[in-house]
Amino acid sequence: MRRNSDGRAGVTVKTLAAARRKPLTRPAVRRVMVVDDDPDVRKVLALLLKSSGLNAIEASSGAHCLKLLASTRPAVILLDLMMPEMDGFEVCQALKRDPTTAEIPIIVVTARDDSLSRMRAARLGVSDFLVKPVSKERLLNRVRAQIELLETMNRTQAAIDRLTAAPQVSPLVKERGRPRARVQRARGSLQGG
Amino acid sequence: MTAASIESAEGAGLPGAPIGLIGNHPSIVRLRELIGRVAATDSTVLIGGESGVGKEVVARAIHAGSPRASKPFVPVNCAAIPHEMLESEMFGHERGAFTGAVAPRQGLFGAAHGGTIFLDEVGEMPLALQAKLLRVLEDREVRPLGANRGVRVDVRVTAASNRDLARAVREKTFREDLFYRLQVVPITVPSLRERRSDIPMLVEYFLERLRTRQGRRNWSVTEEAMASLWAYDWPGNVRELENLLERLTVLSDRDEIDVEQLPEVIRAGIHPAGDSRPSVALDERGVDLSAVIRNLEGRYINEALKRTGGNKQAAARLLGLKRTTFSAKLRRCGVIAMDGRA
Repeated sequence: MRRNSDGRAGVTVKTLAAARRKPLTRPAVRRVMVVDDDPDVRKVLALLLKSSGLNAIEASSGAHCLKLLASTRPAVILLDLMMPEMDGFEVCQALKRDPTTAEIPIIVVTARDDSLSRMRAARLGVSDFLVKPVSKERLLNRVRAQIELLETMNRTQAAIDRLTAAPQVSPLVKERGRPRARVQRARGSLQGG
Repeated sequence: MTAASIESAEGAGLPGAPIGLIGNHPSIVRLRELIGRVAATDSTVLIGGESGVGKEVVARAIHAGSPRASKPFVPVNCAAIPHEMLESEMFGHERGAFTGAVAPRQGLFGAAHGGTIFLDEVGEMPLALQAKLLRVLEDREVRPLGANRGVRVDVRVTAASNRDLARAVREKTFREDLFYRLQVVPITVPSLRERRSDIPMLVEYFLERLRTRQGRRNWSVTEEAMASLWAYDWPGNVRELENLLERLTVLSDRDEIDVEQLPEVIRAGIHPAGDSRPSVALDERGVDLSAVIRNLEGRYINEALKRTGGNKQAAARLLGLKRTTFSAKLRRCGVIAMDGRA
């Protein structure tokens, strides 16, 4: 597989621009971020995700991942452990420390097959741990499982929102161009939490 | 059994921390938060999820977090009570309502007055009774068997099923109107394999509980055994994990649980490639043999690639295949090699 002159996969810029157009604080359920320093792995994973109808955002390093997350909210993050500078564990720590990213499920995809890494990852709150080489089917199943979980939780939350929404708030919800999250915050504060 | 279930609900012996809700997984964190919110409402909740995930734990947590917490929580297993008895168990009966009804009986809805009733396995309820339950939900009134008038009850209804009730509705074994009445707020409890990263924490929690309950030993699990527990798929979910640990600590004379003590089916789960070993157990559901074979091929291909550092030529040789055959199988099995090449 060919690398670009800067050693990054070419898709990144495009997806980043797309992400900027539509900032989201709620996770987009079909968007998956792939964090790996190896552009070939990123490419294969991105193609695989796309082939099953998911959007892939590629990040070439831990720092790149954190930077992208400022403007986009993936449903799941696929994270490599062995990366230069900031390794996967450090990325995990950073993501879990930040309340805006703490709830994004992280699936570690690594060549490290030792129980210490697993345990450390578990303590850091990763959702799942896959060892390379991994079958495509298995990887997709695990990604889908996390996305489905997210969807069922969203359904529950929507039902509770409907139930607890104060009727006088409804004109606000209809207001155009207002980010959904702000409306929801407004709704929440009107009810007093 | 009914008396016992009420007793267990009324007694202060709610099992301390809510077991099924222990964990760090984002889905569990979020579920706890959603439970807190839904508890404050008086809404009917339908709890789904595989068996053993802790649906009753969720119902109890909803009750405990609600303004009804000081009133009874009454669990009813609709599948465990014979169909012909279910109505009188749930709604009560008058004296002489049927042969043997020598004294009037309040029924579980009556017992739950002011509190919460939990209808487990609600999908197993016979259709005729489903209609009566619907009326109770609509009128907030139960009519004991043989009674002329209904009795007002103030009960919050939570229900659970491990069957897909939407499908049961399509198959006409569950009333559609009742389904929508129950599922005002649908909650799905994740399976344990969907939140594997919580396994170490749950293991520690259960071992600690067993230690305090039996009050003697400091059990621990070796890293290797933990890796197997992590890799296993847990069809029986948290309950299966809890039962296993209880069995292991009872049977073992050592303090350390090692991988050899784990059941074969769990030990088999850990494989260098992280793939589960196909078992030859065949039950009435049958098996997709070509999928099993593909899986096995995939695992050998994985292993061969791993040993040869991704060299396909050498990997093919290891498996006694021509390179072209190997590549074809590689494509078919869909293995992502370490270097990302498919």
